[in-house]
Amino acid sequence: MRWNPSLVRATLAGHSLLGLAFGALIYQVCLTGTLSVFATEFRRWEQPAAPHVTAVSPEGYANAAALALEQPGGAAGGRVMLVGPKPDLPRFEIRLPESAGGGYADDSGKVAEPVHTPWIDFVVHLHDDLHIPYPWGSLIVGLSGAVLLALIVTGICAHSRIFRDAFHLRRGGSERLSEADLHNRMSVWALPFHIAVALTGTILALVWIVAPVLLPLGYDGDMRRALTELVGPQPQARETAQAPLPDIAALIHHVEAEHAPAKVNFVDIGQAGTAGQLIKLIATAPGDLARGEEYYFAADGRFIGSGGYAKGPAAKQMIGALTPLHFGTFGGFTTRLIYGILGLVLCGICVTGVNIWLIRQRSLGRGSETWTRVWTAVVWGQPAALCFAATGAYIGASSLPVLYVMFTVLSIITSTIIPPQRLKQFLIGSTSVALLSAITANAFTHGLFPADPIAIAVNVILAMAALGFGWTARHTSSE
Amino acid sequence: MAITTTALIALSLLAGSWALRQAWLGDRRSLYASMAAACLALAVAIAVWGFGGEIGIPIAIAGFAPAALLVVYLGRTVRPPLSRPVREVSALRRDIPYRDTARILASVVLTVPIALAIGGVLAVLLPFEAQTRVIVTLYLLPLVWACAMAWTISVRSAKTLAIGGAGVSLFCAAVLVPRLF
Repeated sequence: MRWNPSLVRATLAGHSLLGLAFGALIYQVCLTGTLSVFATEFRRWEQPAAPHVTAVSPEGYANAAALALEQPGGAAGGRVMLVGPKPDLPRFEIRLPESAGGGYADDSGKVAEPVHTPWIDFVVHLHDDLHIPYPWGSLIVGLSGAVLLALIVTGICAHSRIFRDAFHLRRGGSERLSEADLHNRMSVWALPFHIAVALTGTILALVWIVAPVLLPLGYDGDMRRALTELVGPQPQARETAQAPLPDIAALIHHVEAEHAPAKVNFVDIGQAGTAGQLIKLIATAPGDLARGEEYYFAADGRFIGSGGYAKGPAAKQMIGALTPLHFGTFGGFTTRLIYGILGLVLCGICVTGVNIWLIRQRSLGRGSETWTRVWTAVVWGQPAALCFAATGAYIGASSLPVLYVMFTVLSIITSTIIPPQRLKQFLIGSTSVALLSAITANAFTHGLFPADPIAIAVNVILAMAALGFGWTARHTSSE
Repeated sequence: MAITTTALIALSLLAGSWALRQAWLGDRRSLYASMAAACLALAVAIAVWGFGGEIGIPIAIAGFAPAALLVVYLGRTVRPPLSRPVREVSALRRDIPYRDTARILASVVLTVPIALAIGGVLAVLLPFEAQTRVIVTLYLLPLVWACAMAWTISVRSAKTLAIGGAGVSLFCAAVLVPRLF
């Protein structure tokens, strides 16, 4: 099968332009997204001494909610979120977004220590909105997802030999051909992943930005009905008189009995301890693609309805599947590992895409050493900057975003000082050193053998990565 | 049980990818193509049996990519580096920078209102109930925006761009304006 040559030429030109304009942004979002896939492991690595909780009883949730309201300057009238343990994150977290307090609790709901995972929070935040205030950060990240989709569309149209070259991977020989083969093979074979991640990522980033346009049109101006049907019932804001919590343990028992084998692992109380409070229980069942089904209860414990994210209409299930499909959380650690590998593949596609353009320009005698240096600094400087930020988190850096920007700028400045042949080698070596420094900082803070075995496993994997980077730096040609 | 199931899925996916490559190489194509289809179907069947239909199918699809990439990597050909750089002919003509910048801006910025307008039209016209209309539109909107971007940046003639943009805008306006006023 061959595409129309003029279509190929036009879309290839468009593909190159879009890729060049947004390559660095997409690479950064993909890199932080790949790390975010393993957020649970990094949370355990950053705080291995937090209480290890594998299950919380309904009474434990009820007790945690009551304790949250009793805290001095507590959460009454605000939101109380009780995040139960999962197989990959055996922690019971109490979140009180509107008041101080909260943290990791034991299985009785008593907070033992505040959550302190600054580095992975920083990375996830960087992936979500680049630490830029709403809506601009989300808009830029959403834009990167839409551009990635556009690159997929133009890439498919431009790839006239998509089937004929399906298994061709030529290494060595012509540098451009070698990079192009790698770029095309990685792009084509992981296409379903690229589409799924770009599509769900764009929706997640832009949903609240486009909602004010779509909802009034779709619901003929009835925003109240739109929000109730799409987001679920909301707390009664006018009912602010104090009221006791309903029997949360009984509500959980009721949901688990009615919807077995589903287990409640998230309790969200809006406007807690008031007459207008709303209790939302999220229960997950094995085999569900959605991240959980929501059950709503009024202040008096009356059942209001369910969200329909797991068992409701197909459209609601599509909403429930957004986050699991984006982060690969639907099939346990194995799917997250696959997502991690494919995330790195996506980073590789960004890198080889720009490399192809740089090589082509060089072969035409229009090569720009400045852009080659800057691109090398972006590609290899980002892992180093993220790893140095991890060390910064351990030594108590006050602002990780500032530290990260500083290292990013430093890597670009370095690209003007160090000869281009040595730049890649230097930055890969820096990443190795940064990884070793993060491991050392972790060991100093939590000891060589922290309580959580996952923290040890992460340190071992990071040490292997550091060795890998070190070996690569040593064997990267400086010619 | 989960580890055994995962291993069986991985093996089926690897065997399917290998058979696909053999079919691609051209030797006994139909035999290997059938074998590939059988192995990949088996992988999906095992995933559905082991994890249920709802997550089994996405697991099999996600797992296929690394398996296929591994087969591609193992079948790579390594050639000696070229002693001298080859002069290559560009497929692209050299555009002046401001024109490229304008095309990028046009493709990213101008397509936003167009995509939103098409999204609005879909949210109004899709033949479903309101909730489904809005959610399906939410899924389609990034694809519409991406296709609009791809078309805008690939189109060579400003006239085509203007006619296309005006046509879509007029259609959207015809659908949406009566609803807004």
